[in-house]
Amino acid sequence: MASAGSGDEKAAAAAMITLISSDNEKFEVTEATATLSQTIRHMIEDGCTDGGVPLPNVTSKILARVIEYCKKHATAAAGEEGSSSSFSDAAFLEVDRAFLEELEEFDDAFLEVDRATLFDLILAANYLDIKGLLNLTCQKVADSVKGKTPEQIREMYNIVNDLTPEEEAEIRRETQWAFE
Amino acid sequence: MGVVTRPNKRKLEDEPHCQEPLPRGGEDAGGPDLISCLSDDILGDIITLLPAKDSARTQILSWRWRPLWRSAPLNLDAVVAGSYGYYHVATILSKLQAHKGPVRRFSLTWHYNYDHFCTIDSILKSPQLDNLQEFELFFRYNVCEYRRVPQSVLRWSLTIRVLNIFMVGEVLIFPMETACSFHFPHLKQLTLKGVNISEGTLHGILSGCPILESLVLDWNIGYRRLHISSSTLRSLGISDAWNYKVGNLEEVIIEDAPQLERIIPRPPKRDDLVIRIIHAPKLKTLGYLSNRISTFVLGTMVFQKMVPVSLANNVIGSVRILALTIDPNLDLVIGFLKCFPSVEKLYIKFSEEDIKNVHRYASLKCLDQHLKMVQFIGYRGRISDANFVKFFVLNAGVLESMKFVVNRDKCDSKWIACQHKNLMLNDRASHGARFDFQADNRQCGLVHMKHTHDLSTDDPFNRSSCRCRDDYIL
Repeated sequence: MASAGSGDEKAAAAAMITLISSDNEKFEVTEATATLSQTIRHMIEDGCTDGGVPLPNVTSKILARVIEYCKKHATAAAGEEGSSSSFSDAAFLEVDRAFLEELEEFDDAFLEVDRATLFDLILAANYLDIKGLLNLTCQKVADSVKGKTPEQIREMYNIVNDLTPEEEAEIRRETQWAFE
Repeated sequence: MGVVTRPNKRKLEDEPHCQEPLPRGGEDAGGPDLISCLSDDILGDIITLLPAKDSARTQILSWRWRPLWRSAPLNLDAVVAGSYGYYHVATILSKLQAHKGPVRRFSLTWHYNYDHFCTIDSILKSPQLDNLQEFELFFRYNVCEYRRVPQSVLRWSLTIRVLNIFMVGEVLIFPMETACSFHFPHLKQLTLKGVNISEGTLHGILSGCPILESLVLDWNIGYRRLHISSSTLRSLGISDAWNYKVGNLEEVIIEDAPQLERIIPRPPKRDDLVIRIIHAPKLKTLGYLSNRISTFVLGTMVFQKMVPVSLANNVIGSVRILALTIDPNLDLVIGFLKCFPSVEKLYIKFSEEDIKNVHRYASLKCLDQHLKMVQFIGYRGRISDANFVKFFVLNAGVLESMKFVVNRDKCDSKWIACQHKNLMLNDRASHGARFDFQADNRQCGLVHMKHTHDLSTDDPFNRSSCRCRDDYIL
């Protein structure tokens, strides 16, 4: 069985959820990991997770990446909860800080994917309602568009311009300040 | 991840406009229009993250994109300046009217007569700005009497996340005494610069910000004491104002700030400022400290005019980045390194004066084990400068990098070779260390407010990739 969480002994003690991709791969993850997705959180709250959670919009390749993200960030969330009770412990804070840096590095590396995968991740993050992942991936797309001309953006993303010259002229007239 | 990746067939029937199967990695060669596969909501999220011009231009990409910008929250930067002021105001109004949707962020730079400021207050009252999350006002104009910060800033108290008010040249009066009855439940970043605000109002506002992370208070008048206790504050930039006899900042007390990581006190304009930090166990970044701070207290450690007066083997191990503006007195610097033995990065801003008391060798925990980077700002290359720096060259055993921001027009290879010799780089204590000389006679030992607020970096003193406007340095 392809399992994302079975090697983790600590996780084995916790409640496990099975996620099923569109191509019928099964992924077993901890509840803490799965509930980064608001969609799955609601299913758990409604008691609809027996026999696994089918995710017909997400392929195994993308689901594996999404779980990778959630596992990392679920650990971070657990760390934050712990920190409030012991923030005076300098040694703990050092670890905490190092972990946040590690998390940033993880996010940067996580975004090193081809464009098709990036869009699949956006779709999956949206469908699964994982806010952090959606923000992260949308920011990456926004950064790629920033400062580019409409022609450059169309070329980069293969957007077909189906506006008539008159419509284009109208848009330019209405929002002239944006095209100066 | 014990996952076998199979050639996958995509199922995205819920998403609009998609063709399948999609080729991977071939998107540069006339592939499918992937970005238009995203739903209107997601495209709206992306558009909102763009600056106003970029976001408005997305209308012209295609028929599909055309209506999206109007409904996505707007990120608007505007400048009103010079004799075109009226035209600029009209442009802001037309942007807001063309857009119709809400505004997420509004940054306004006003270099124009204050007499027309009421125009801006009426813009700020427009319904598109009802749920504003970020507001910045840069105001620069010589006015002859005190004017007011727009009243509207308080109407966003429930939604605002970032509020930056910068006034250069004169002082604006913060709107009203009732401000302290407002709550700012989402405010994370606050700057007040060049504002006249009473002690009671300021403390009232601060106590109404339960999640404030970053605070800059500079060039303000109206309060003599600033008292900070915050369980969320991570970064603090503070200083006094110039030459105001009434209500100038005299004392800063940081009573309990368990998350505070950095304190950036701009060298005060007067020389009677007292800073007392009672409890800030996470303090990691500190500076620029200067002898214009009359008394600096950190825990049980006391410096008067930069001279430690209560030694008693006090050390602060949490500080990793330290910046000093001092008369180049090596004894003083050594005193600091003894008090802060874990410093890894040290910034030293040279003054005009010659260096005193030069040591050749010394064993300090900081130099033996921790100091990795030193940067000297305003280095001139005189023999006395070189003798001062040589102390670090010869003693910093784990040094990785030494940088010189040189007060010259250029550093030619002959000049650098001469410096290498004077600095005795061949005898350096750390063989792996790099030495870089960079000519820049404009750089000052100050920190830009943007960097004070930037919590994504540990080191706000590093200006190597900084392109900030110098008006807003701290």
